[in-house]
Amino acid sequence: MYVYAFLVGIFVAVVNGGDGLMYLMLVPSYWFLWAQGAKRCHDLGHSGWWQLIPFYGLWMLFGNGEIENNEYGENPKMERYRRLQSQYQSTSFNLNKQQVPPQKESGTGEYQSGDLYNR
Amino acid sequence: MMIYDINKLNISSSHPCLIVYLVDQSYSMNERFGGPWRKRADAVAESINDTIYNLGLSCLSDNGLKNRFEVAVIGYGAEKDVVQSAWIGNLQRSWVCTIEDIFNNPVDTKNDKPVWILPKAGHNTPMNRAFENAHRLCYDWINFGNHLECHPPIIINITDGEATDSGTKFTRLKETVHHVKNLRTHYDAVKVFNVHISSDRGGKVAFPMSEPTHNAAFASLLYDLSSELNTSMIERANALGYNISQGARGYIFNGDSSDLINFLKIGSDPI
Amino acid sequence: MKSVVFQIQKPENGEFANIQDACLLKPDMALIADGATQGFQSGRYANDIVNSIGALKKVNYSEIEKAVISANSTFEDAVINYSTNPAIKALEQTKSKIGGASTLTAAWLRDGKVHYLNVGDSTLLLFNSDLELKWSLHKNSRELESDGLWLSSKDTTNLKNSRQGIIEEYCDGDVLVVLSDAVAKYILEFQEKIKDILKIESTQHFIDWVDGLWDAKSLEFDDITIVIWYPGKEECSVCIPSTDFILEKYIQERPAVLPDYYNEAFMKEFNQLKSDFNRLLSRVNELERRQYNLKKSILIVSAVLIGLGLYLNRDIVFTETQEVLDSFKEAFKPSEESNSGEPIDSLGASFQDSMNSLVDSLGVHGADSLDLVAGDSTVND
Repeated sequence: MYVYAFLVGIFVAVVNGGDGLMYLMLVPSYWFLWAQGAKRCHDLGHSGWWQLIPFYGLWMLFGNGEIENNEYGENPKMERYRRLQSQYQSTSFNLNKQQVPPQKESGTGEYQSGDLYNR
Repeated sequence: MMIYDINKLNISSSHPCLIVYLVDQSYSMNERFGGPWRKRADAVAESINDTIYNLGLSCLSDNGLKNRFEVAVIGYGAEKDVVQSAWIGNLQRSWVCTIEDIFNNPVDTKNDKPVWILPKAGHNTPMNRAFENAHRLCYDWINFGNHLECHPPIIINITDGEATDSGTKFTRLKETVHHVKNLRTHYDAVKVFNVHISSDRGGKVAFPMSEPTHNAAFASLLYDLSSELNTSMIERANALGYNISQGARGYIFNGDSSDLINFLKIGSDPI
Repeated sequence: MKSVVFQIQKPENGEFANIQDACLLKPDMALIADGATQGFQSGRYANDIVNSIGALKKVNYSEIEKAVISANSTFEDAVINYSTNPAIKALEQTKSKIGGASTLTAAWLRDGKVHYLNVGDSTLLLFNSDLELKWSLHKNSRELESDGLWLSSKDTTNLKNSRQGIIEEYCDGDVLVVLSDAVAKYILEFQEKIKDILKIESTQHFIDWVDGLWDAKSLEFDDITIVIWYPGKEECSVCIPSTDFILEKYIQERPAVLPDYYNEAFMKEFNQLKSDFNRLLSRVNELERRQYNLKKSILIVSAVLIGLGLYLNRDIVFTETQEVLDSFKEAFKPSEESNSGEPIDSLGASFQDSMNSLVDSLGVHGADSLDLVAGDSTVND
């Protein structure tokens, strides 16, 4: 960005004696800002044009993004959520794996005749 | 001729009694009950754990635990249309457990007391299938060893809603429970008690002697499905403030958390 | 005619040594203490009571009361070996708060009269030489069942309220029978059955007699203790089985006990994991709460700063806004004819003026750029 600004500045200075630099700087800046703004709008489930609404920037700043995937694509944090979830699952208290003597498989899980004192 | 007088029957390890808890584990058991941070499933699990602990107290003798009671806990509705034993840990997949087994295998402790049943709330309410399981289980239990000479099993159904697998008129459920109540030992028939819990304070029915005139059809149905309390249960209920007499049925509709605890105390100690 | 003690344990107790009844027979005294299952280690408590009373040199009501109080101290002071299983230990600790519980029925001979003291549902019957019932402590089995009192190792209230008296009906040749509750109910219902008891001459005969009644469901399954006492008679005998005697007939097929998988290490690890999880959960909740508070604070501060900025620069803001609005108003006025009769491009000129004033207010310099925007053909070179 800064390299670009520098090169543009030199070119404009050659052509126009120093003026016009600001406008040329603004073009990529705005492109960048609007692109990022559009991405943030998509996080919130809105179109990128919403960022032109006055004070919408505050919503962009403080609003919570949608957790589920929406029409604009997958939640970029979903991978992190999935990783955390699998971490919790692996440390959760799965008592089925603890100290259980061999059991007879009973199919549906419902009581069958003969299961009375099943061990 | 032998006269089987249930008033002369002592529950002992040579003549044990079976208690079966049918526990509703449907999704609605997630709702608040008896406190802002307490769900119905939590209240039910705690009550059952306390009741089992009290059964243990009555089984404790000078030389350890006597197997005077055998307990089965059947959960229904944790997953869609699923009925299964609610024991976990080492008792997982066991159906009927003796008191000794139970106290040798708790899964947790809470307030210095052992815990066996954990709260669960999942899906729907296959109550009819739960009673069918209880029927098969009681039939096998009665025909095991000398159990024909023992106190008949007691089935306590804890629910917060209507059966979802018995149609709108609950015909199949009525038939199934009728078959269950026809099972008997030499002393008496199997007892079936029902406690319905909810946060709705209006329209509570407790130990009625006649069919309740309630708007909910399910209230009348549960009355039909419930057996009468015996004398010692009636005395215990009166001691807990319910003011009932002979002929009262073991049934509460729209009960709150204290009703649940009292009901289990009354229904789980037949002598 | 000799005094006899009969005892048999209930099948649930296993060996005879585990019987919860205790009894004492002397020429001048007979008593039964029946340990109640509601109490803690009641069999031991009943034995303590009997031993304490049996050691008395002189027997009267106050001495018996003192003996019971002494038995209470002995019982409470004894060291309790709790189970290593925490679940059962919790039960034992809960029940130990109740203390020991036992009934007591004692009868003693003094000055030719038979005195008695009773707490609870063991009873005392007086039969004449023809074995007809002359007097009974409890009139019938219903009264016996409703007598729910017992002695407690923690509290002497029931001891102080015990039934006490002298059996006036007693005379020489009568026989006193002290009974524990199960057999008392039976004899109160069928008084003539006392003759069957008095015909029993051996332990095996007694066991068979009780077994027959259990088979017929005429007798409750409970510890059975009968003391046949001829007051003043020296001859005494005992019909009790050996300590390891078991009623094998009642050993039923029982489900196998699960092997003891209770594992301290597992429970410790389980509890550790649970507390770690709860700690992480509370940390996450705390962070979420802080994040929320931070967002709220930033929002408030931003709103305040913007408001402050607008307020401090209100003149400029107002003026510039007004100028911009005025220019736009001018721009959209209907076109006027110029002096030469040609329409004036007032829109273009107004627009250019508006842009000029806007650019000035932004502090941007350079008329060339404005000319570029307006597209005016009269751009100065």
